Amino acid sequence: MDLTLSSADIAFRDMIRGEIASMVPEDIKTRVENLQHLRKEDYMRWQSILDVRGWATPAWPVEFGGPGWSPMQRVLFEEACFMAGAPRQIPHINMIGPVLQTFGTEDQKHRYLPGIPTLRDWWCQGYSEPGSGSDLASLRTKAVRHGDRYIINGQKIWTTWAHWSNHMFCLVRTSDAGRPQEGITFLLLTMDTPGLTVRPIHSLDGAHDVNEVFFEDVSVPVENVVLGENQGWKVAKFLLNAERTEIAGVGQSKRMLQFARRLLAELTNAGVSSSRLDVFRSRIARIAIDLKAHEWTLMRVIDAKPDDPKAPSASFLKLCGTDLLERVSTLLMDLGGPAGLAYDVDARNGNVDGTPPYGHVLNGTAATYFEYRKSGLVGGTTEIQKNIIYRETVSRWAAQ
Amino acid sequence: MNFDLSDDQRALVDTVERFARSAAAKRQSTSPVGAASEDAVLRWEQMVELGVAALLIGENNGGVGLGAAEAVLVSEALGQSLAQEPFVTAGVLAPKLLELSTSDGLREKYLRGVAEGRVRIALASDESVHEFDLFSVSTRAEVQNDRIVVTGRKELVVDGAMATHFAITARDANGLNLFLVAAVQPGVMVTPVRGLDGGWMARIELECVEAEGPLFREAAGLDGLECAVDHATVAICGEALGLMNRMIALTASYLQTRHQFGKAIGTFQALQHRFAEMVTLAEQARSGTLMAAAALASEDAEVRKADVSAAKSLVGRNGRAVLEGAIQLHGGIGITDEYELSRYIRRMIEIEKTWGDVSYHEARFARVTDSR
Repeated sequence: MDLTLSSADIAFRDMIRGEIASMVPEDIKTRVENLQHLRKEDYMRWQSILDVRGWATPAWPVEFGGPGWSPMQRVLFEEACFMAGAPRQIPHINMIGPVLQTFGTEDQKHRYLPGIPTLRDWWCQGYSEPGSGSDLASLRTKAVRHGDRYIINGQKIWTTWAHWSNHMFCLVRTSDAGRPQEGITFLLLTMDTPGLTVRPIHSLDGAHDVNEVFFEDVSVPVENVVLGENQGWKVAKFLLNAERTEIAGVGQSKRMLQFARRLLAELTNAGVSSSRLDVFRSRIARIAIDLKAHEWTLMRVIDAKPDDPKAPSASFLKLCGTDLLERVSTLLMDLGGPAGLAYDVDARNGNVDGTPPYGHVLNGTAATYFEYRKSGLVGGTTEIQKNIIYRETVSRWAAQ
Repeated sequence: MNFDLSDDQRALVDTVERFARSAAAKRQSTSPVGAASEDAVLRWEQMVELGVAALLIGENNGGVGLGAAEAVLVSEALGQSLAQEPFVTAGVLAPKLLELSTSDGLREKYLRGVAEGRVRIALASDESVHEFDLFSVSTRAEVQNDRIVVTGRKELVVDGAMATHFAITARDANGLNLFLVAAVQPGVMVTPVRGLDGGWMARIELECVEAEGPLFREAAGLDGLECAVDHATVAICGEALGLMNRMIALTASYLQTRHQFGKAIGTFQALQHRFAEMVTLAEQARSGTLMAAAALASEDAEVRKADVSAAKSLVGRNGRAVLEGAIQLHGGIGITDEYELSRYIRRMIEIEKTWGDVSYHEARFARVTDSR
C-alpha cells in the first residue's frame, strides 16, 4: 500500500488540469456550472474538442485510438474536467466501446468504433422492459431468426437518449430453453430501421431524457450479434463492469456540491439569517466529507485486482454514490428555499437563452431534486446492490 | 498509489495480528486501576520487544521510520483484538510530539527512551470536560529561580494512569506551548479516572511542578501540537477500522448460525440489507482513513487538517452506525456485557469521543474548507 501520487502522476495531473482548463468553451462551461441540461450539440462539440487531442475515449487502449491511460490517469483526467466546468462524458463511450473491442468481430470494430469518440454515432442501451426491471434476465423482447436475419418484436423502456441516438445495443430473447440468462443475445441495430418507434417519457423534473422504444417486426442482420446467439448475458455482465467507475457519480456529486456552495454564498449575500445558514453549512460539510471518502473508495475499486475477494466491489460504489447524489440534490432543493417554487423548465433544458425570473442559479433547484430521485433506480436498484453485497461478503466475514 | 499490501506490510500485519490475539486487554469494566495499568504496561513491553514501539520513529532516532499507512495497519490489527492500548499514545502521539519538537535537546534526551519503551509520555491537554479544544488552556508555565514550573489541572488524560511523563499544554509569557513533566514528583497529583471500556485515564493536578521545555519555538508550537494529535487521530481511526471488522465478523457469523422461524436469520432480506449497510459504512470509513493517512504527509497544513477531520468525523459517525447495526442484528445478546461484542461497542464510543467528536471535526473541516 502506497498512498502517495507518483511524480509521474503529479506531472500528468498538472499537465491535464492546465490543458483541459483552456479547452472548455465558455458557453458550455456556463451551462454546466448552472446545472442546466446540456443539448446534444454541447456534448458533441466537447467530444470533438477532446478528440483533437486524442482524449475523447479515456478508457480505450492505444490500439483502438484511445490514450491508453492508467486508471489513476483517468481519475485525474475526470477531476480536471470537473474543475474546468466540462460536461460529463456520455457513459456509453466507455461501455459499448470496450464491449466491441473485447467481443466484436473485425467487421464490427471497423464499422462501429470510429463513430464513437466524436459522438457522430450516438448509442443508446436497450435493456429494461416494462416487465423486466430489477429482474432483467426475464426480458421478453423476442428476436426470431429467419435465414440470415432476426425479426424483433417487443418493447424497451427507460431508454436514455434514444431520441438522440442513431444506434442501439440491446438484449433480446432468442431462446426460452434453460435458465432465463441462457436465452439472451446482445444485438446491435440502427435506430432508423423500419418498425422501430421511439416515444418520449417526460420525467418528474420536466426533462425529456428517457424513452419507450417499440419493435414491430424490426429486421436486423445476424452479423449484428455480438459474441454469439444466447451469449448476451456474458456481454451484459462485462459491460456492467466497464460501467463501474461511471456509476460512482463522483463528478455529478462534486458538481452539485460546488453549486451548493455557490448558493450558500448567494444566500449569505442576500442576508439570510445566520441560524439558517449554519444548518446548511454543516450539511454541506457532512456531504463534502462523505464525497471525499467516496473518491477514495473509487480509487480503491479501480486499483483492485478483479479476482481479489477482499477488495471493495462496484456495489459499494453504487450504494455510496447513490446516497450522495440523493443527499446533495436534496440539499440543493432546501438551499433554494421558496425560490424553488418557480421553475422555468425551458431555461433549464437549454431551449431558450433568456434568464428565468430568479436567475439560473435558483431556477430548477427543486427540479434537480426531482431529477436525482432516479439515482437509486438506475444501474441496479439500491436494494439489489444490498442483496449483492450481502451475498458477496457475509461468508467471508463469518469465517474471520 | 496502490492499495495492495506489500510483502513487508503483509508480514507486519500478520505479526501484529498474531501478537494481538494473545495480548488482548483482559480487563472487565470493573478491573481496578492497578491491574489494568499493569496489564497495559506489560503489553507495551511486549510491543517494544516485537518492534512495534519504534515503528514510526525515524531511523536517525533509533526507529524503523515507517509512515502513517503502516500506523493505520498496525492499529487496525491491534484494534481487531482490543490490544491497542497504549500504541496510539506511546507509539504514535509521543514520538510525533518529540519528532516535531523544535528542541533538539529534549528530542535527543527522550526519543530513544520512547523508542525503547522506557519512557511513556501521555499528552495532557484538555481542561474542559464539556468540549474538546486543544487550545483552550489556562495552565501556566513560569520561570522561578531559573526553573520552569507549571501549575494547572488537566482532565481525561488518555493512558494517563500508566504514563512516566506528561506533555502539558501551558501558557508562558509567549503564549501556548508544550512542557514535559515527570509523573512521579512533588506537586503532581494523578487521580485515575475509569473509562467507558474499563481502561484508566487520569485527572492531573500540578502545583508549581518542575518542567522541561518548551518543546516548540513559539510560532511553531501550535501547528506542531496539532500535527502530532492529527497523527494520533488517524491512528485511532485505524483502530476503529479493526473494531468494525470484528463487529461485522461477529454479526456475519451470528446471521448464519442463529435460527428463527425455522431458518437462519441471514435468509431474511431486511437483515441482509442492514448487514450490507454495515459493511458499506465500514468500507467508507476505511477510504476516509486512508485518505487522512495520505494527507498527513502533505506540506499544506490545511489539507492535513481537512482530511484528518473528515476521517475522524466519518469514523465516529459510521462506527456508531456499525455498532448499532451489530446490536440490532444480534438481538438481546448484543446488549449483554458478557458477550464479546460489548467491549468493541464501548471502545468504539471511546474513540468517537477522543481528540474531538463528530461535531468538533465536522466544524473543523468546515472552518478549514470554507476559507479555501
